[in-house]
Order: sequence, then C-alpha cells, then structure tokens
Amino acid sequence: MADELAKYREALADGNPADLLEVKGESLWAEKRGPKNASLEQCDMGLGPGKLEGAYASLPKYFKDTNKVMDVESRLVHCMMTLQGFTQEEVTKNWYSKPGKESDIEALVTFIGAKSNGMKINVPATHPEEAKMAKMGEYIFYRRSGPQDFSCSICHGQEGKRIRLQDLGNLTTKEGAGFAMKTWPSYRVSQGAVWTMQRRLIDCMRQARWPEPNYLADSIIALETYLQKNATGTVMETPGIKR
Amino acid sequence: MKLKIALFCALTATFATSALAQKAAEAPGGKYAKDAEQMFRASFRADNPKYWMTRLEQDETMKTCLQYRDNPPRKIGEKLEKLNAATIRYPVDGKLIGDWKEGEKLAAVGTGGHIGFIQPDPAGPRAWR
Ligand code: HEC
Repeated sequence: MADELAKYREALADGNPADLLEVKGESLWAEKRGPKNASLEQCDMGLGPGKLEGAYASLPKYFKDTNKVMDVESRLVHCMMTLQGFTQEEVTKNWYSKPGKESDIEALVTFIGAKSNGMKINVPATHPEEAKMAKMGEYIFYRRSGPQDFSCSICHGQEGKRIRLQDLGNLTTKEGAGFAMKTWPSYRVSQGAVWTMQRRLIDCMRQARWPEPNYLADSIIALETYLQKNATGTVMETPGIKR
Repeated sequence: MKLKIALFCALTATFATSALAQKAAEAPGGKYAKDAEQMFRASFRADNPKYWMTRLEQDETMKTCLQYRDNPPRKIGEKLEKLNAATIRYPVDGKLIGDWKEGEKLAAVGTGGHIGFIQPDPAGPRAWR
C-alpha cells in the first residue's frame, strides 16, 4: 500500500498543485500592500532582510528584535504587521484556506519554503532560548493526556507503525523526523490544500483528542523546534505532496 | 567463596550501571519540564469549553509514562498495570457482548471523540486525518 502511494506521488511529482501557490506567494511577497503600502522584501526571516535562500530550513530560530524563538509563520506575521502595518487579526484571519477562501499565509509560506528546497535543515538549537524551546518541545512530545491517553510519541515514537495506510515515522530519530520535516509545507490531496506545519501540528493535537491550541502558540513552535532539531542535516524537498 | 564475592560484585556492578543508564536518559524537558507544562497549558484558545480543557489533566499513569518516555522500568510498569487493571468495570448485567448495531453506528460516525473548532468531523469513515 505504501507502494501505491509512492506511485501516486510519482504521478503527481511533475505537477504539484502547490507550485501554483508558490508563484502566488512570490508575487504577494513583492507586492506593496497594507496601510504602509510596503512589500515584504525587507522582511528578515533570520538570515538578514530579504534573504530567503535557506531561511525556512533554519527555522525556528531566536530573534533578537522580538526576544522570541519564532517559526516561519510567526515571523511572517510579524513582518506583515511591522512592515505592512496590518493588525494581527487581519493577517491571521485566513491563516488556513477553506473551500473558496484562499490563504495568503499558505501562499507565502509555500514560497518561502521553496527557497530552501535542496538545502539541509539546520536547526542545531545552540542559542540558549532555542535549546530551551527544543527541550520544551520534547516534553510536549511525550506528554500524555486525554480520553485515549495520547501523546505525540504514541503515534510517532516507534518504528513501523501506521494508521490505516499512512506510515507513521519515528519522529524521535533523524531518519524519521527528516523524512517528515523535509516535505513541508505540503499539498494534501485529501484536503485539496497546502498545509503549513502549524496546520499539521494543530490538526495532530485534534487527533490526540485535545482542545484546540492558538495559531502560532508557543507549544507548536516548541514542537517544531524539537522536530527540526531532530531532522537537522536532512535535505529539503518542498513543497511536498501528501495523501 | 572468593568466586562468590567476585560474582556478587560483578552483579551489583551490572545493576548499578543499568540503574545509571536509566538515570542518564533524562526525563523529557529536563530542567525545563515545569516551564514546558505551564507553556503547554497556556497555549490553548480561550474559547475552548471548560470541559474540553479537562482533557489536559494527567493521572499518575500518564505522568509516569511521560517521565520514562513510555518505557518505565519493569517494576514501575507492573505497578501501573495493576493500578489500571483495578479500574476495569464489567457490565453490571453480566452481558459481555453488547448491541453490535449500536457499535456499528458509532464506528460509522468516525468522530472518535475529536473536538476543536477548525474542522468538525464529517460523518463517515474518512473522518481521521
Ligand atoms: C492519533 C495519532 C496521532 C497523534 C496523537 C499525533 N499524530 Fe501526527 N500524524 C498522525 C497522522 C495520521 C498523520 C498523517 C500521516 C499521513 O497522512 O501520512 C500525522 C502527521 C504528522 C506529521 C507529518 C508527518 C509527515 O510524514 O509528513 C508530523 C510532523 C506530526 N504528525 C507530528 C505530530 C506531533 C508533534 C504530535 C503531538 C502534538 C502528533 N503528531 C500527534 C497521527 C497522529
């Protein structure tokens, strides 16, 4: 069955619908918008203003100007607020797309992600704040609660597990985390949409039967830091395509 | 006699190192575990109903499993198994097989206890994601 999926991926590899979104993200990045009528071209995603090559692969990261560890989405929202003058509410209202309602964030993250395609994930978490975030992510990964005693590790902490036809890699290893993290953001065929990592992890909390976290919540960024640290060294293949 | 002592020492040494090895695999979160718990709890939407939020509570078993990354030493594992086995309640009427038609209905809904605002589960077998 995993073979069937591999064939399916191959068939779609030449034409990932996410490519269209990447193009849209590229023009949104350069377009003057918002109360300040500014583009995002001066946005610092961690490697300096406007430097996007490899930026996604090295996030989450500690940012001096906000004194926070930020992921690609929280940093992007920060730039849209500070450079373009949007309010947080305006920026995050459509943080994920619904049928008939597109999401600028999805497009921009797809574009920014693609700028790291072919590069190695690089989140060693050496800054003390990053190291702390990675540790807190590890804690959340193993924390069990809810009506079915779930933790992330119950579904993603062992080799060779699956839910129905979906292989669930072991995200605590470099191989498992790398295999998963290198393909995000990803076009999800079953959803007909590109999902960002925030979307993926918030939905996994739903699968854990937990209440719903805030978009851009620290707990999600901590998990991302933990997973990217585990995946460090893996070459990015993004945008991905998934079931 | 000498052999016995030597054996005894070797054995205790093995025990000591395995106990050490267990200690060495630090509990997840390390010195930030407390901060992490606080941060995790503060990360949920304010409009989650209170009874949803109770799903974040942990009993002793959940806490212990977290501590040992789901692999507690056998002795502790046995204790947890006993503790949890003691909570199993058989149906009061003594019938162990219920109404499978009711069971089928539950399975078809596929919500399986999911909660949240983003995506209420559609009924049907593809509700999982
Ligand atoms: C009930 C089981 C379950 C739980 C609990 C769960 N997940 Fe998932 N997770 C899944 C499934 C199913 C998928 C989708 C796999 C697919 O479609 O290929 C997935 C996908 C993922 C992916 C993407 C994997 C990839 O290969 O692209 C990541 C990363 C992830 N989960 C992380 C987490 C984290 C972190 C948690 C804890 C907050 C968590 N999951 C909790 C079942 C679960």
